[in-house]
Amino acid sequence: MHERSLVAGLLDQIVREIAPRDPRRVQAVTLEIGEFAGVEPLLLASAFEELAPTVLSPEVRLDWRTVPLRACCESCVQEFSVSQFRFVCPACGASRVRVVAGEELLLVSVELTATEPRITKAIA
Amino acid sequence: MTTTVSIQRDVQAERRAAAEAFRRQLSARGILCVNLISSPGAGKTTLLQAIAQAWTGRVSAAVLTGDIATDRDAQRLAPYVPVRQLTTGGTCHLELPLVQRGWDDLMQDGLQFLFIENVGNLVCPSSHDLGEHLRLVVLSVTEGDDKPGKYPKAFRTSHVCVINKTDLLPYLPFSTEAVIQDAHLVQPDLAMFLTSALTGAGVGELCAYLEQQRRQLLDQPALLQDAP
Repeated sequence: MHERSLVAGLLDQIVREIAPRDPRRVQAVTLEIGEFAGVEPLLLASAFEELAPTVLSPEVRLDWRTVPLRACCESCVQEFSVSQFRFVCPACGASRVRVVAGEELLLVSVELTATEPRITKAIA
Repeated sequence: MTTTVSIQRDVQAERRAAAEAFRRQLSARGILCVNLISSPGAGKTTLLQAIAQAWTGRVSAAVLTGDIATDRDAQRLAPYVPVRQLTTGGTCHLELPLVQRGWDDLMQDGLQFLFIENVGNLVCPSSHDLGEHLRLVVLSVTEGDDKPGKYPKAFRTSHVCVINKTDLLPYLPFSTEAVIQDAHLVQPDLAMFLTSALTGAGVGELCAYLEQQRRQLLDQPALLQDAP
């Protein structure tokens, strides 16, 4: 179960690079989770629910979608969906294939609330 | 009112870059780094002990050994190689910062190999690049011959597979051919070795392979030019 560590790394990146001034503005985070990323989405979601509200908005939401595992055959250049983790080209039977999708853990976007208008001192 | 900011960034990119930098640092010192992964009890420590014994007085290696608790593995290996125990305190896999702390403590001149013995677990360690040049997955024959397809990421991301405890083969319904076939459907480039770390059978072949892999690394001058 390494999803907690991944979520901690994700939150660190969001705070450091996306919303350093006010991470509490982050209302939603969207991820793409590859089928072969070595990440269990439900475990990731529960780690997010536990950790994210302590640094981002208390109501922060995680949206995620899974990305199917796809590969490209190095012999016949056929792209195919990898089934049962058998990395074999269904068209020509070659086993040298390159994964083209499904290994990623991608931070797609974040949703921020608009900055609150700065309260300026009324001139007397 | 909210605005959506598009990021499109790989969450693990920073970790991968850090692992790549560590790998180059080791390459520049002429060190080949091997990350050993397996389920608990497959024989990683005994295999390392057998490798170290085979290399005594000839090849210099050091070990960073990871466990959730205790320094038992480090104690076992200490008579043979410089070793540091990495204790994760509950985490089921090693991550780079812990490995680097151990390396800072263990680092010495003249090393040719650095072995990282991961926490026994065929799942999570597969997702963490520790800066190794080779990932070596150990599968012991008592675990059954259906494992590569069941733990595809461990086998897909490995370069070498060692089928260990072959001294027990006469007593078990285990087909080495089935494992090799299954493993090659997941990763066709996987180099396969059969060993009994206990009796030493097959360890010489594995050692020769590792030495040859290090020679290949040394033949890549670009990697050796980087300042350590």
